[in-house]
Amino acid sequence: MPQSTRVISPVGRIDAATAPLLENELSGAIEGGDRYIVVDLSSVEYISSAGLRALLAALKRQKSLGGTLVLCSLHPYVKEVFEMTGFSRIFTTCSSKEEAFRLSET
Amino acid sequence: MENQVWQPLPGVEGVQIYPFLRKVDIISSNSYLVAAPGLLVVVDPGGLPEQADILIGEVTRLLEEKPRPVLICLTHVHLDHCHQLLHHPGFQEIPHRLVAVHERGAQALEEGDRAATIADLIQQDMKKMTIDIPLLPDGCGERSHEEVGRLVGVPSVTCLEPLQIEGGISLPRQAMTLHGHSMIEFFHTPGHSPDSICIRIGEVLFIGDLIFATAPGVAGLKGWDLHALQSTLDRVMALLSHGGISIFLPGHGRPLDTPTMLRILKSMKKEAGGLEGIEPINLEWVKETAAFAGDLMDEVDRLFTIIAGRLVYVAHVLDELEESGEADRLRGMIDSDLVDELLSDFNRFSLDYHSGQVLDIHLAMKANQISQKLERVYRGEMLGSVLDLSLVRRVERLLEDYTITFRGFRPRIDLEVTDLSIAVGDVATAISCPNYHDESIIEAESEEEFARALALRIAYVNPFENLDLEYIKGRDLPLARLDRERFGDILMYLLEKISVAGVTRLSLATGSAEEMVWIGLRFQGPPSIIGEKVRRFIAHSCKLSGGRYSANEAGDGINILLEYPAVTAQPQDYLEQIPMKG
Repeated sequence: MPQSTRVISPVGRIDAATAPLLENELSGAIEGGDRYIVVDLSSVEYISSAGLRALLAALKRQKSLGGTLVLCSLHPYVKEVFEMTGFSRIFTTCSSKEEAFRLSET
Repeated sequence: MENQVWQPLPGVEGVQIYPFLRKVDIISSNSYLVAAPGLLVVVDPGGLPEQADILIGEVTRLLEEKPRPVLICLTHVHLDHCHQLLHHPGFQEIPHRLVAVHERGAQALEEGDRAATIADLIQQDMKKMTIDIPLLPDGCGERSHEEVGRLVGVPSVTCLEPLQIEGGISLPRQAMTLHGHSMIEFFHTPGHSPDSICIRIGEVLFIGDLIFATAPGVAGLKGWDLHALQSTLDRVMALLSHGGISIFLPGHGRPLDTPTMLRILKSMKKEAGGLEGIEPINLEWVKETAAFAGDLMDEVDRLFTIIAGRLVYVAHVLDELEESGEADRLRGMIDSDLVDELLSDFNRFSLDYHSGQVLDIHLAMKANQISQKLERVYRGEMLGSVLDLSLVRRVERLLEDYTITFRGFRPRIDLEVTDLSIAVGDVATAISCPNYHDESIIEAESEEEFARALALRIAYVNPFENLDLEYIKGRDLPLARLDRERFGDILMYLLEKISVAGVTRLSLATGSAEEMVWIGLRFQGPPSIIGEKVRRFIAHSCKLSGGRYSANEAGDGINILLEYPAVTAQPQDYLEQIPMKG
């Protein structure tokens, strides 16, 4: 794994109660200088609109700083939400962490 | 009236009242203590031990100050009002204790009737109890006489004399002395339950659960009687106009003044008119409704997330295009934070339910509370101006179905004679044709029109773009009887599930056999695409559309079949097999 890639692995549900925690973790990484971020969603079985907003805010910030944010290993429900909302057009998503590392640095 | 504080009881000098008020739930009622120099009165000891501890503490203190008899009255015998009377040792230990309950309630407590006390619904134990004063026996509204209580040494002589109110209305009444010339009056007010009574002391009327008698999940309980309730509402309204009562103390929630009480009674009267034919609220209904609630809220959650997420997505793209005004307008279409909080709240509740901490009835009620709140924040018309109408309509229908079910009715089903091939064709067209026109962007005459046309274009997300759909239309199909809109929603739901799971080829076919017209879907993919929850949801929705659903795995593929009765079949015979009828 390249040293420069930061992996964030939320667990469980990303909803109104937990989205702020993810938001903090993402902004901490971004403001801390991590330019390549992979969010491993393999342990996330649910995402609400608050979760989507948290990811989007991080992506916008990361892009403005010239960094990348790649999502990997989406649970079927989360994948469905991304497809149905249009978020799959904004985010780079992939099926494995290894692929995410490659993509994050390109 | 201040909560948990002793204060003068309006209308009777020298008598104090201590209200124990709770927020509205079905676990425990409010309780009230009344202290007269020669008698203590407890109205509805409630359902919680900690509540009972406080009440018993107050009673014990007052008895130490001055020993006197204690009269415990129940406005009715639902366990949320009296569980602690039956089970808390403190209530058994009160010396010179009398319990007064309407005759029908007394019988239920003496027999341990679990249905009449709703012990079966709230799944609580109940001990049997002998009642000292069975109030207002049958026929008491017709004559006046005195009755002597069974307990020696206590002033338990009660007088039965109907209260004559103007307009020829009379109210069955029993009274006993409280203090001096002041009386405690018991009025029979059935409807919510056969043993419901209101109790008057001075200017205060304890009304039990009268004002909840038309509420969803309450109307239809064992012993609930619409015609008795309508008569009670007339009588209590007449009692109000008779004058002399200024405060109404309900079994749940805050005290009410006379104008508020009158307004509630009038609105209940109107509401009661629409409750003819309501489903009985029993254990079976509760289990069925709770199961429906769980599946329905899962789908509501998914749809709300898609709708709110789609708006976030469109607003984001508009921001990128420096159309921040339109982006803000879209963000304002739904209060995503509130929706998220409500859905998270339900999820937490649902987890408690699955871990056995919460009962079926609680889940059904919680779903109703959440769906009512969601309905209030949901602006379907506005959302429909930007998003797929199917998404918007499905949310509305789900919330409406649940509200109707929880009210004790069956969801509305509009069965119509339909050519199934045309109905399938409509869905196929809907998924292949965008709901925007490129010309709208080009021909926009103002900045605002341009931004809106652009938003509509961006909001079009086609989850079916990678799905290769083959449709084999059956020949000479007989017409079928089905709810066309509901059918369209189910088919759309299925296609979404299949497509977003990554399936790229799907065969659709229609045909008929044995007086049924069917549509079949066949695709390659893992069975998890149509998981247990999805299957349950489709099966339920299909019933509501007038049909039946089945699925099987064949090789590495999945077959799904939705069947509807051909119009040559006897629709009534078929409909009788559908649990949720219109």
